[in-house]
Amino acid sequence: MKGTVRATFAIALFTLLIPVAASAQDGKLNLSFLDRLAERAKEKQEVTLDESMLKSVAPSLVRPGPKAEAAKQVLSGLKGVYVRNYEFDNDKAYSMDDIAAIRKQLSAPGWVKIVSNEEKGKGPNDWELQEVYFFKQADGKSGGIFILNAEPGELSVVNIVGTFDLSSLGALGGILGIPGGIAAGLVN
Amino acid sequence: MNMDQELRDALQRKQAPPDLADRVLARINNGEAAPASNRGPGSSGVFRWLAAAAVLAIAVGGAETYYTQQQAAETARVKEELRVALQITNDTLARVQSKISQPADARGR
Repeated sequence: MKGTVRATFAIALFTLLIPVAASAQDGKLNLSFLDRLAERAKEKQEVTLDESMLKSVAPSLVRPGPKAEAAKQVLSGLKGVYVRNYEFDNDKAYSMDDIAAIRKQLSAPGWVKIVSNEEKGKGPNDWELQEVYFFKQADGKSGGIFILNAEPGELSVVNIVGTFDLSSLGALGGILGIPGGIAAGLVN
Repeated sequence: MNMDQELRDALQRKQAPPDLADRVLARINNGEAAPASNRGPGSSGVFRWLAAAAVLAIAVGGAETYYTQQQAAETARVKEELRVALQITNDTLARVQSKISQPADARGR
């Protein structure tokens, strides 16, 4: 009897863990932890574009041009674009603890930290954190990127999911009229 | 005769013929249809089909226009969101780059 209960419990636990593992495998992070920060923000920009949204408009998004093919390739590889950008009235609006839940997800297998800069000053609100992570899929290809810029009174979080590289993402930016390449300095 | 009088005559209540009810009932019992004196021969069916086709064409055309407009609005919205997202990505990466390329002393810490 005990064995049956244990087996049932193990199966239930395994079933519960499958979605967690699956979500960790595609480079998509759960950004809902930032919702409470959004409520406190003086200014906010939030973008949530999932794969179906991107695919439905992809054919009409790219107009003919020198970078059109590259932009089409990037779009076909994108599975999601999630951006949160908040500005707060005061420097004490949020702390490192508020973004800890997001950063904890980056300890999952596949995430590789490529840039990290953490500064702590004398005061409790005198801190900064910049991080860039890549998600490496099982086949070795990039499956996503996570960019964080956290400063007192300002927070930017970017999670782009899919198979792409930053230089090709710049082609898409060019098509959409963004001056300068995406991460030109980091790529070149 | 002035207009008031003409109107009064036109709107004056007239007594129905005494055999009207009998004639109507008789025709109903005989299954007769109303005379189609004001319609052309065979025009009734054609007119109905034409009207139905016109309504259908308008409905399909309207639906297509609506769908196209919705699709264009959705494309414009996604394009704008994507532009904003890439702009923020660009700005954030530029910020990160400037931070990591600064010497620690220059950061004022």
